[in-house]
Amino acid sequence: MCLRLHIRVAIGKKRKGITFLAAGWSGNTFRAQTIVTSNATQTPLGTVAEAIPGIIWIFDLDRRRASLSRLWSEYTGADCQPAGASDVLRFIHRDDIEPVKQGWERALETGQVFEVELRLRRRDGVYRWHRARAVPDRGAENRIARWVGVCLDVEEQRQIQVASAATQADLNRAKAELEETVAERTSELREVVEQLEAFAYTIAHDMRAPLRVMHQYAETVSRDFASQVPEAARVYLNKIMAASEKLDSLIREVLVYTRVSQGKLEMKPMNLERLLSEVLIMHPQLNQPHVELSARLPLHAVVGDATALTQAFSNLLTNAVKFVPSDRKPKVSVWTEQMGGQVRIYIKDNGVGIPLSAQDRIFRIFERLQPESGDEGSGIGLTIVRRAVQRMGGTVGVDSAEGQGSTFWIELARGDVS
Amino acid sequence: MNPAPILHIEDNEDDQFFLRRAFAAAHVENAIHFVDDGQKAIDYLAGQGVYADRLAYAVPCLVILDLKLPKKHGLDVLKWIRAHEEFKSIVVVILSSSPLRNDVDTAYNIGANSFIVKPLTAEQMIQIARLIKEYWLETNEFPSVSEMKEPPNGLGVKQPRRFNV
Repeated sequence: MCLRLHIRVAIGKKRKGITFLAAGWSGNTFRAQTIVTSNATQTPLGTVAEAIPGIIWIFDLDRRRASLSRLWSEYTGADCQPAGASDVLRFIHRDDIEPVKQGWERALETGQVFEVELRLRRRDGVYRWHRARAVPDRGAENRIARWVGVCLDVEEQRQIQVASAATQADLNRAKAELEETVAERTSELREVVEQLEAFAYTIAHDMRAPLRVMHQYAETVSRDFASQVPEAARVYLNKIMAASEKLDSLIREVLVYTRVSQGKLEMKPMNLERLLSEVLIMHPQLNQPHVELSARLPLHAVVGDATALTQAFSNLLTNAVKFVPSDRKPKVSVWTEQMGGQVRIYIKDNGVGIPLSAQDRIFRIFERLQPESGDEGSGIGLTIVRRAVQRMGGTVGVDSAEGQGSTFWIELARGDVS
Repeated sequence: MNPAPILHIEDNEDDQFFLRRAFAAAHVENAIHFVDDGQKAIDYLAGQGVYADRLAYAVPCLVILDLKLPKKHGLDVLKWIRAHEEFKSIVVVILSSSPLRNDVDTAYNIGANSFIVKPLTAEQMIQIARLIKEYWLETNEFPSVSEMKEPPNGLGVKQPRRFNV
């Protein structure tokens, strides 16, 4: 059922004509329109149109004439309804005329909504931004008889936009500056770190030569002059040798650390099962009969650098057997777990374990769990692991309790993802 | 055993001593000649200057080369050696204090036969001497080019040549 209700009301009788407001339901659409029956200059569009805080206009296609609400004259200072296009265009900012014309022509051609933003000159000569919008009013046989439009002052909105764009630009500039500063500082810092590492390398390297000399002369005296060296002196010579061996192994660890820290990484999928057997060949102390080692196959592939991963893996494995009470046979198990795009490699031992309070610091350089317990560990092994794994984009951690053994893990990207 | 001497290019007197001791302990009978900088090494091999007497300074069967050397770096000495036809296949063992990856790679690229890092202990040094002896002096077959031909002037002296290094 189609409800069609038309009210025709004479809004007012003007000097030279009558304006009507026609409103009603057409289908489920409320339509309101004014019907201009006069060319009166005062309120050609009626009271409702005058009540709207915008310039209301109607363009009559047949008569090629536009009628505008009173706000038009109030705003522009024009004292009469436009007689032609130029009467409207002269109030539009020079730069906006072309886009307005084009938009209007397109709307007339296509019958689609006309929408444009333009600057309109106020009577005091100030241009303010307006948003114009017009819709075709189809009469009988769906023919467009006229266009009904509105022109709203959006200057304030526009200014807020401009201000916020300026703020945004300031923000972006500040952000860029900040990023630049950060990048600069980072590169300075990196340079310092590199220098320090190079320095550490040189120092470590240069320290080995005098150590070699110390050790070998002590050996030479002890062996080549064996008959002349009293037993007590030989003990002292052995102490010299032991001390220099200890220092040498420390230095070698530092060299490994700096090597792991520097140099290019070549990241590629790594077969862990093959890597494990290589590590076992390199470290006889990890094999039977010294150690009971079990690997839960398959070990999932990870993405890593061959040298860095071998270093990290073998450090964890040798660590696993190092801190086991002498009355216990070291037991080590190795397995992997897939966690989405990552693989976690676990290395579990039956060693002394690490108290929770110490688990943070064991990865720091020169930190040792039991420094008083003699010559076990240089305090660098785990730092090397962490550095190597970090450089490969992974993480490292430990689950342990004192006396319960430790489970170290390395997490790296999966290697079997095509 | 190859009767030609061994040339040890090493500036550190202690390391010279340790090598001599180790080679003696390993019963290496070849004479060991020392030179303590890179330029002297080249002079020796070229048989020029004070090394002109090939009887006293015979072409070695084995060169043991340190890398950090005064005047000419060990790798430059190696480059020089391989640039000369008569030394193309002479055995050069690098005995360096550090296994810098760059050094190792470069050394092999330009024709080192072996790269050994100086060990900490005399015991290890003797073991290295033993291995060098057993492998390079007793097992390895030398190509004919490194066996020096009879010197043309009959004095065992190669005419000094100008080498562009």
